[in-house]
Amino acid sequence: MTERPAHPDSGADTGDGAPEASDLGSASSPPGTPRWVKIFGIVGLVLVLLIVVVIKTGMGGEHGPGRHTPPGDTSSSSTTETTPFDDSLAGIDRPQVAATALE
Amino acid sequence: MKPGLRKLVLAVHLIVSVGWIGAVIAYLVLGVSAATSPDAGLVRAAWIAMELTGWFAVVPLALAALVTGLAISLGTQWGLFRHYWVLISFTLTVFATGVLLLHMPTVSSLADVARRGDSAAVSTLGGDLFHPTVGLLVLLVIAALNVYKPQGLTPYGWRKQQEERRRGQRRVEAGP
Repeated sequence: MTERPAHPDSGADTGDGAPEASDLGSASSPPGTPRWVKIFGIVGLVLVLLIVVVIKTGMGGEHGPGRHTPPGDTSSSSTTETTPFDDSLAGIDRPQVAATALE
Repeated sequence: MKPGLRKLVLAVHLIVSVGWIGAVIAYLVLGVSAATSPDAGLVRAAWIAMELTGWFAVVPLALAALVTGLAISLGTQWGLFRHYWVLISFTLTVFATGVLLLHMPTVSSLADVARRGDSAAVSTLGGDLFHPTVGLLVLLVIAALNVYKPQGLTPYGWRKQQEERRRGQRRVEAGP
Protein backbone atom coordinates (compact mmCIF):
# COMPACT_ATOMS: atom_id res chain seq x y z
CA MET A 1 0.00 0.00 0.00
CA THR A 2 1.38 3.40 -0.95
CA GLU A 3 2.24 5.73 1.89
CA ARG A 4 0.78 9.16 1.44
CA PRO A 5 0.41 12.23 3.65
CA ALA A 6 -2.43 11.75 6.05
CA HIS A 7 -5.53 13.86 5.68
CA PRO A 8 -6.48 16.02 8.63
CA ASP A 9 -9.20 13.55 9.45
CA SER A 10 -7.59 10.36 8.24
CA GLY A 11 -8.71 8.59 11.38
CA ALA A 12 -12.32 9.68 10.99
CA ASP A 13 -14.81 9.53 8.20
CA THR A 14 -15.88 11.79 5.39
CA GLY A 15 -16.74 15.42 5.80
CA ASP A 16 -15.02 16.14 9.07
CA GLY A 17 -12.07 18.45 8.58
CA ALA A 18 -10.74 19.91 5.36
CA PRO A 19 -8.82 18.71 2.32
CA GLU A 20 -5.04 18.91 2.66
CA ALA A 21 -2.97 21.51 0.83
CA SER A 22 -1.13 18.96 -1.33
CA ASP A 23 -4.48 17.92 -2.77
CA LEU A 24 -5.17 21.35 -4.20
CA GLY A 25 -3.20 21.24 -7.44
CA SER A 26 -0.69 23.79 -8.72
CA ALA A 27 -1.47 27.46 -9.25
CA SER A 28 -0.76 27.48 -12.99
CA SER A 29 -2.59 24.49 -14.43
CA PRO A 30 -5.37 22.16 -13.36
CA PRO A 31 -4.19 18.78 -12.06
CA GLY A 32 -4.51 15.81 -14.41
CA THR A 33 -6.81 12.90 -13.71
CA PRO A 34 -5.17 10.70 -11.04
CA ARG A 35 -4.11 7.22 -12.07
CA TRP A 36 -6.42 5.58 -9.52
CA VAL A 37 -9.43 7.34 -11.08
CA LYS A 38 -8.46 6.08 -14.56
CA ILE A 39 -8.05 2.51 -13.28
CA PHE A 40 -11.29 2.81 -11.34
CA GLY A 41 -13.11 4.05 -14.44
CA ILE A 42 -11.74 1.32 -16.70
CA VAL A 43 -12.59 -1.46 -14.23
CA GLY A 44 -16.05 0.01 -13.64
CA LEU A 45 -16.74 0.35 -17.36
CA VAL A 46 -15.65 -3.24 -18.02
CA LEU A 47 -17.88 -4.54 -15.20
CA VAL A 48 -20.89 -2.53 -16.39
CA LEU A 49 -20.38 -3.72 -20.00
CA LEU A 50 -20.05 -7.30 -18.76
CA ILE A 51 -23.31 -7.08 -16.83
CA VAL A 52 -25.10 -5.45 -19.80
CA VAL A 53 -23.83 -8.19 -22.16
CA VAL A 54 -24.86 -10.96 -19.74
CA ILE A 55 -28.35 -9.46 -19.38
CA LYS A 56 -28.85 -8.70 -23.09
CA THR A 57 -27.61 -12.07 -24.32
CA GLY A 58 -29.56 -13.97 -21.70
CA MET A 59 -26.44 -15.83 -20.56
CA GLY A 60 -27.34 -15.16 -16.95
CA GLY A 61 -30.92 -16.29 -17.40
CA GLU A 62 -34.04 -14.18 -17.48
CA HIS A 63 -33.83 -10.89 -15.57
CA GLY A 64 -36.74 -10.28 -13.22
CA PRO A 65 -39.18 -12.44 -11.28
CA GLY A 66 -39.51 -14.93 -14.13
CA ARG A 67 -35.99 -16.25 -13.52
CA HIS A 68 -37.15 -17.68 -10.20
CA THR A 69 -39.95 -19.77 -11.67
CA PRO A 70 -39.99 -22.55 -14.26
CA PRO A 71 -41.35 -21.83 -17.77
CA GLY A 72 -45.12 -22.12 -17.97
CA ASP A 73 -45.63 -21.48 -14.28
CA THR A 74 -48.45 -18.96 -14.11
CA SER A 75 -48.44 -18.51 -10.38
CA SER A 76 -45.69 -15.87 -10.52
CA SER A 77 -46.29 -14.46 -13.99
CA SER A 78 -49.74 -13.31 -13.03
CA THR A 79 -48.24 -11.61 -10.00
CA THR A 80 -45.56 -10.03 -12.15
CA GLU A 81 -48.10 -8.56 -14.51
CA THR A 82 -49.94 -6.88 -11.69
CA THR A 83 -46.76 -5.33 -10.32
CA PRO A 84 -45.63 -2.24 -12.22
CA PHE A 85 -41.85 -2.51 -12.23
CA ASP A 86 -41.25 1.21 -12.43
CA ASP A 87 -43.90 2.18 -9.92
CA SER A 88 -42.06 2.52 -6.65
CA LEU A 89 -45.28 3.17 -4.76
CA ALA A 90 -46.68 -0.20 -5.79
CA GLY A 91 -44.13 -2.03 -3.69
CA ILE A 92 -44.43 0.20 -0.64
CA ASP A 93 -47.87 -1.10 0.20
CA ARG A 94 -46.87 -4.70 -0.12
CA PRO A 95 -44.80 -5.05 3.05
CA GLN A 96 -47.80 -3.76 4.99
CA VAL A 97 -49.83 -6.57 3.51
CA ALA A 98 -47.04 -8.96 4.40
CA ALA A 99 -46.86 -7.62 7.92
CA THR A 100 -50.59 -8.03 8.31
CA ALA A 101 -50.42 -11.56 7.00
CA LEU A 102 -47.69 -12.42 9.48
CA GLU A 103 -49.62 -11.14 12.48
CA MET B 1 -22.23 24.01 8.33
CA LYS B 2 -21.47 24.67 12.00
CA PRO B 3 -19.11 22.21 13.71
CA GLY B 4 -21.75 20.84 16.06
CA LEU B 5 -24.25 20.25 13.28
CA ARG B 6 -21.52 18.79 11.07
CA LYS B 7 -20.60 16.28 13.76
CA LEU B 8 -24.24 15.31 14.21
CA VAL B 9 -24.85 14.79 10.48
CA LEU B 10 -21.56 12.90 10.21
CA ALA B 11 -22.55 10.62 13.09
CA VAL B 12 -25.94 9.91 11.49
CA HIS B 13 -24.25 9.33 8.13
CA LEU B 14 -21.81 6.84 9.66
CA ILE B 15 -24.56 5.00 11.53
CA VAL B 16 -26.92 4.66 8.55
CA SER B 17 -24.10 3.80 6.13
CA VAL B 18 -22.78 0.99 8.30
CA GLY B 19 -26.38 -0.02 8.99
CA TRP B 20 -27.00 -0.21 5.24
CA ILE B 21 -24.09 -2.64 4.86
CA GLY B 22 -25.38 -4.70 7.80
CA ALA B 23 -28.91 -4.80 6.40
CA VAL B 24 -27.61 -5.97 3.01
CA ILE B 25 -25.60 -8.72 4.72
CA ALA B 26 -28.75 -9.83 6.58
CA TYR B 27 -30.66 -9.80 3.27
CA LEU B 28 -27.88 -11.80 1.62
CA VAL B 29 -28.01 -14.43 4.39
CA LEU B 30 -31.75 -14.82 3.74
CA GLY B 31 -31.11 -14.97 -0.01
CA VAL B 32 -28.51 -17.71 0.41
CA SER B 33 -30.85 -19.63 2.73
CA ALA B 34 -33.65 -19.44 0.15
CA ALA B 35 -31.28 -20.55 -2.61
CA THR B 36 -29.79 -23.51 -0.79
CA SER B 37 -32.56 -24.89 1.40
CA PRO B 38 -34.72 -27.77 0.16
CA ASP B 39 -37.29 -26.88 2.82
CA ALA B 40 -40.22 -25.02 1.19
CA GLY B 41 -41.23 -23.60 4.56
CA LEU B 42 -37.82 -22.02 5.04
CA VAL B 43 -37.81 -20.65 1.48
CA ARG B 44 -41.25 -19.14 2.06
CA ALA B 45 -40.15 -17.54 5.34
CA ALA B 46 -36.91 -16.27 3.80
CA TRP B 47 -38.66 -14.49 0.92
CA ILE B 48 -41.19 -12.85 3.23
CA ALA B 49 -38.34 -11.75 5.51
CA MET B 50 -36.35 -10.51 2.51
CA GLU B 51 -39.24 -8.30 1.46
CA LEU B 52 -39.61 -6.86 4.95
CA THR B 53 -35.86 -6.40 5.39
CA GLY B 54 -35.63 -4.75 1.99
CA TRP B 55 -38.45 -2.26 2.36
CA PHE B 56 -38.08 -1.47 6.05
CA ALA B 57 -34.31 -1.66 6.59
CA VAL B 58 -32.30 -1.56 3.36
CA VAL B 59 -34.32 1.10 1.49
CA PRO B 60 -34.67 3.60 4.40
CA LEU B 61 -30.99 3.21 5.31
CA ALA B 62 -29.93 3.69 1.68
CA LEU B 63 -32.01 6.86 1.32
CA ALA B 64 -30.75 8.17 4.67
CA ALA B 65 -27.12 7.49 3.69
CA LEU B 66 -27.66 9.28 0.38
CA VAL B 67 -29.27 12.35 1.99
CA THR B 68 -26.77 12.66 4.86
CA GLY B 69 -23.87 12.12 2.47
CA LEU B 70 -25.17 14.92 0.28
CA ALA B 71 -25.59 17.19 3.30
CA ILE B 72 -22.03 16.56 4.51
CA SER B 73 -20.44 17.06 1.11
CA LEU B 74 -22.36 20.23 0.30
CA GLY B 75 -22.03 21.61 3.83
CA THR B 76 -18.24 21.27 4.10
CA GLN B 77 -15.14 22.22 2.09
CA TRP B 78 -15.08 18.80 0.50
CA GLY B 79 -17.94 19.71 -1.83
CA LEU B 80 -19.78 17.28 -4.08
CA PHE B 81 -17.88 17.78 -7.34
CA ARG B 82 -14.46 18.96 -6.10
CA HIS B 83 -12.77 15.67 -5.28
CA TYR B 84 -12.87 12.52 -7.35
CA TRP B 85 -13.40 10.26 -4.34
CA VAL B 86 -16.47 12.23 -3.25
CA LEU B 87 -17.89 12.29 -6.77
CA ILE B 88 -17.33 8.56 -7.30
CA SER B 89 -18.78 7.73 -3.87
CA PHE B 90 -21.87 9.79 -4.65
CA THR B 91 -22.27 8.24 -8.12
CA LEU B 92 -21.98 4.71 -6.72
CA THR B 93 -24.44 5.51 -3.93
CA VAL B 94 -27.00 6.87 -6.42
CA PHE B 95 -26.45 3.80 -8.63
CA ALA B 96 -26.86 1.37 -5.71
CA THR B 97 -29.97 3.16 -4.44
CA GLY B 98 -31.50 3.28 -7.92
CA VAL B 99 -30.95 -0.43 -8.57
CA LEU B 100 -32.32 -1.18 -5.11
CA LEU B 101 -35.53 0.79 -5.73
CA LEU B 102 -35.95 -0.90 -9.12
CA HIS B 103 -35.30 -4.36 -7.68
CA MET B 104 -37.57 -4.21 -4.63
CA PRO B 105 -40.88 -4.51 -6.56
CA THR B 106 -39.51 -7.78 -7.99
CA VAL B 107 -38.75 -8.97 -4.47
CA SER B 108 -42.31 -8.05 -3.47
CA SER B 109 -43.69 -10.07 -6.40
CA LEU B 110 -41.69 -13.11 -5.37
CA ALA B 111 -42.64 -12.66 -1.71
CA ASP B 112 -46.28 -12.71 -2.88
CA VAL B 113 -45.63 -16.04 -4.59
CA ALA B 114 -43.99 -17.29 -1.38
CA ARG B 115 -47.03 -16.26 0.66
CA ARG B 116 -49.75 -17.53 -1.69
CA GLY B 117 -48.14 -20.32 -3.69
CA ASP B 118 -48.17 -23.99 -2.79
CA SER B 119 -45.01 -25.82 -1.73
CA ALA B 120 -44.17 -26.76 -5.31
CA ALA B 121 -44.32 -23.15 -6.48
CA VAL B 122 -42.34 -21.93 -3.48
CA SER B 123 -39.60 -24.52 -3.95
CA THR B 124 -38.94 -23.15 -7.46
CA LEU B 125 -38.32 -19.59 -6.23
CA GLY B 126 -34.68 -20.10 -5.42
CA GLY B 127 -32.81 -17.25 -3.77
CA ASP B 128 -31.62 -13.74 -4.48
CA LEU B 129 -27.84 -13.66 -4.66
CA PHE B 130 -26.72 -11.47 -7.56
CA HIS B 131 -28.20 -8.12 -6.55
CA PRO B 132 -27.25 -8.20 -2.85
CA THR B 133 -23.76 -9.53 -3.62
CA VAL B 134 -23.01 -6.81 -6.19
CA GLY B 135 -24.67 -4.26 -3.92
CA LEU B 136 -22.51 -5.30 -0.98
CA LEU B 137 -19.35 -5.05 -3.09
CA VAL B 138 -20.35 -1.54 -4.22
CA LEU B 139 -20.98 -0.49 -0.61
CA LEU B 140 -17.60 -1.84 0.48
CA VAL B 141 -15.90 0.13 -2.32
CA ILE B 142 -17.74 3.28 -1.17
CA ALA B 143 -16.68 2.62 2.43
CA ALA B 144 -13.04 2.19 1.36
CA LEU B 145 -13.14 5.45 -0.63
CA ASN B 146 -14.60 7.26 2.40
CA VAL B 147 -11.91 5.95 4.73
CA TYR B 148 -8.85 6.37 2.48
CA LYS B 149 -10.00 9.55 0.68
CA PRO B 150 -7.57 9.12 -2.24
CA GLN B 151 -6.18 12.42 -3.50
CA GLY B 152 -7.31 14.07 -6.70
CA LEU B 153 -9.05 17.32 -7.54
CA THR B 154 -11.54 17.55 -10.37
CA PRO B 155 -11.08 20.47 -12.83
CA TYR B 156 -14.10 22.11 -11.19
CA GLY B 157 -12.55 21.62 -7.74
CA TRP B 158 -9.28 23.13 -8.96
CA ARG B 159 -11.07 26.23 -10.36
CA LYS B 160 -12.97 26.74 -7.10
CA GLN B 161 -9.74 26.33 -5.16
CA GLN B 162 -8.00 28.95 -7.30
CA GLU B 163 -10.90 31.36 -6.79
CA GLU B 164 -10.68 30.90 -3.03
CA ARG B 165 -6.91 31.41 -3.09
CA ARG B 166 -7.28 34.63 -5.08
CA ARG B 167 -9.92 35.90 -2.68
CA GLY B 168 -7.65 35.07 0.26
CA GLN B 169 -4.71 36.91 -1.33
CA ARG B 170 -6.83 39.99 -2.01
CA ARG B 171 -7.94 40.00 1.62
CA VAL B 172 -4.32 39.82 2.81
CA GLU B 173 -3.24 42.59 0.43
CA ALA B 174 -6.11 44.82 1.53
CA GLY B 175 -4.91 44.48 5.12
CA PRO B 176 -6.80 45.11 8.35
